[in-house]
Amino acid sequence: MTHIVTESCIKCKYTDCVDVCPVDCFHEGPNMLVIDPDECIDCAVCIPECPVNAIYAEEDVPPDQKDFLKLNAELAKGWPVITDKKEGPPDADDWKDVKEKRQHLER
Amino acid sequence: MEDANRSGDGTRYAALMEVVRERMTTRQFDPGYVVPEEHYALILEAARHAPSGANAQPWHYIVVTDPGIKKTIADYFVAEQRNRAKLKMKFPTPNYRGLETAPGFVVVVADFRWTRAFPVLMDGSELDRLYHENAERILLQSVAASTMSAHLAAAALGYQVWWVTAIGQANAQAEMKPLLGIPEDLSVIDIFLFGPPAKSPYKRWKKTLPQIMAFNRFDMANYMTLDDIDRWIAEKRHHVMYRDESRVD
Repeated sequence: MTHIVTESCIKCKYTDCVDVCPVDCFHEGPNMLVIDPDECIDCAVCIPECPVNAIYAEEDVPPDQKDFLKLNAELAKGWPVITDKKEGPPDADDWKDVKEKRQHLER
Repeated sequence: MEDANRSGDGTRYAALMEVVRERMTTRQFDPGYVVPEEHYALILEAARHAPSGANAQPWHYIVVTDPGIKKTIADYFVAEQRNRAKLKMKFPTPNYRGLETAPGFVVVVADFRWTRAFPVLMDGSELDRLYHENAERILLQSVAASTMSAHLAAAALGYQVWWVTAIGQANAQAEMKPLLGIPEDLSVIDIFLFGPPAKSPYKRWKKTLPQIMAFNRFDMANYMTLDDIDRWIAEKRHHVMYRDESRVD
């Protein structure tokens, strides 16, 4: 069991979630965060922090976002851990209502 | 009789240990399960037999069956969990939402006024204060012994359990006491949840016997420095709390 970050995070990366995570399981990529499933303890504290509702418990992931389960596990391996909130991208607000943005994911 | 109880064939010990070993923490229960009413009495009957300082039995158990009360208490814990996260306490909290749907829900209440039944001076002196501190420990051990008996009884009935602690804060008391009609001078000390687990429970890492046991003298091999403890907290704590023992490095 784990929680994961889904498509909404791409190009927004607000990082509010990072600040509340008790086990530092968020990893930072160029324009998205992911959760390391081996470290996440399912406390669910990060869910309400995300301004774009990108975080789900594994069992609640919407069907069209299921591929992010694998992506979180995979990308967490290569991306560095992030432990403190930081400024999001300057154009984050322009992307927060964009639904389909998987093609913009930078690895 | 003596043989059967002491060395004997070990069947009573085996039966006890099966219950002790199989008692595992679950933080998500089957929400649809209804606890048969007689089970509350079977479980709390075990609590009743626990030892206590001065045989004061300073405990009360409030069985919560009202879903509205369960939800209010769960909401409090979820909010508190969020506060702790915001404070950067970095404690790996469980998801307290699981309280809301726990089939068995018992609030454990302690009456700290009973410290006066223990060895204290009652003269307001510094020495009295020290004895009172000790008396609080006596009281906490007493209530914990009773609570553990109840947990084991629940385990013996085939349930898994959740011992929700860390609710000594003033705001937790203020939230729960009026809700449950608990008199002001008593204290909610923990919450005992039980039921069939929503997913299969897992056995946590436990220290080995040599790591906790010595004869006649403390075994310094088992002494941890503060640095050791801090390292353990940073590297191991969340693993031993939330992983099966086979997956703890």
